[in-house]
Amino acid sequence: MEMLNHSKDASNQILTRTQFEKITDCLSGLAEKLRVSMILLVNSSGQIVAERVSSSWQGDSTVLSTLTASSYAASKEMARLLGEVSNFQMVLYEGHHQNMMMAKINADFFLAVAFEKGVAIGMVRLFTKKTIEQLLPILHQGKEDRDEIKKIFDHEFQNLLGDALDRSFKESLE
Amino acid sequence: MFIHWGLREIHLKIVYYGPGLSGKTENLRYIYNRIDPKLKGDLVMLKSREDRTIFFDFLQLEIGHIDGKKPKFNLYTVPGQVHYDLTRKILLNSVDGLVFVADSQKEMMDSNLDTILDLEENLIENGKTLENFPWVLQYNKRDLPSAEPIAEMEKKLNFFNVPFFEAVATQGQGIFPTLKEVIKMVVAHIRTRLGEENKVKSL
Repeated sequence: MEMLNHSKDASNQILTRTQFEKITDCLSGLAEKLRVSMILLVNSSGQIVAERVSSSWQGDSTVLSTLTASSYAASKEMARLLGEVSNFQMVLYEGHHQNMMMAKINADFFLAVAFEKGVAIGMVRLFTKKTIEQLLPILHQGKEDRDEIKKIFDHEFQNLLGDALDRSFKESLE
Repeated sequence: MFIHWGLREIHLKIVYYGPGLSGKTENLRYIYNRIDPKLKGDLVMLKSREDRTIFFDFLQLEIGHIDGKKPKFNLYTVPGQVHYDLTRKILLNSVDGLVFVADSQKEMMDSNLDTILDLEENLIENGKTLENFPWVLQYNKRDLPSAEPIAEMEKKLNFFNVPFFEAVATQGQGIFPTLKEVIKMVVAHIRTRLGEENKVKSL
C-alpha cells in the first residue's frame, strides 16, 4: 500500500505499517531517555496512532487519547483567543505524582507524554522536541492513495459490515 | 476517518447532535448498557455539577474483524446548551456521520430547528454540508403526550429527506436501528465519494 500522510482536511488519514514501525521506534527511543508512564501519538480527532506505556500503567489509552485530543482542541481555541496564530507548542499538566505534557507535532498530530514528578520538565521538553523532529518526516512521507481506500471499502466490506452490524446489534437487543 | 493499516483498524467518528436534553447522552448510555462488553470501551461522560453534558460523552464500539479489517466506531455526543457552540464546533472536526436527536415535544420544535441550522453552520466551517453528508434524524420522546405528529416533524425538520427513526431513548426504542443506519450511510458515502473522484480523474 502507498503511504498516506495527513490530508488537507485532516479527515482522511491512513497510516501504513512502515510508518507505524518507524513511529513506534521513535516513541521507544523517547521512553528510554525519560522515566515515562505513557507516550501517546494522537491525531486531531483523538485516535491513537502509536503508544508506548510502562508496565505499571493501568489506564485506558483509548479514553485518554480522546480526552487529550479534546483538551488539545480546546487549547487551540484558547490560543486563538489570546492572539496566537496556531495552537500552543506545549501544554503542561502538573500533578502530585505525575505530570503530563502535550506537544504539537503539526496541525494533525500531537504527542501526550506522562512522566513521573521527579523527572525534570526541561529534559522532557528537550527530548520531546527532538522526537518531534524525527516524527515529522515520517508523518509527512508518502502520498494519498485513494485507490487503496477504495479497496478497503469495497463492496464485500460493505456487505459484511451490514451483516456484522445486524449480528452485534441483534444480540444487544435480546 | 482514520485508517491504521499497521493494526488493520478503521476508525469512523459519529457525532450525536441535537438541542439540550433531547436524549443524546441517553442514546450512548443505552448502547453502552446493552452492547456485548467485548465490543465496547468505557463510556466517558464529561458532565457539569448539574448533570448536564459540559464537553462530550464518548463511547468506542467494535464489531469484530471484517474481511481482515477491524472497524471501530467512535461515538460522541455534543453539549446541547446554546452557549457551548465552540465545543460543538470542535467535536465536529473529522466527523464521518451524524445523528440528529430531535425532541418530539411540540414546544421544542423551534429549538430543534435552531439546532439544525447551528449544525449546518458549523459543518460548513468544517467544509461539509448537510445536503451532502451521511446523517439521520431521530425523533425522540415519542412516548410523551405532547409529541408532535411525525408528519409535522418531517415537514419542519427533514429538508433533505434523510432516513428518520422514531425513538424512546429511555426505553431503548429506535436506538440501535438509528446507529446501524448511520454507519451504513457513512460507508456508502465514502464509497460514493471515492467513485465520484475517480470519475472526475478520468475525465
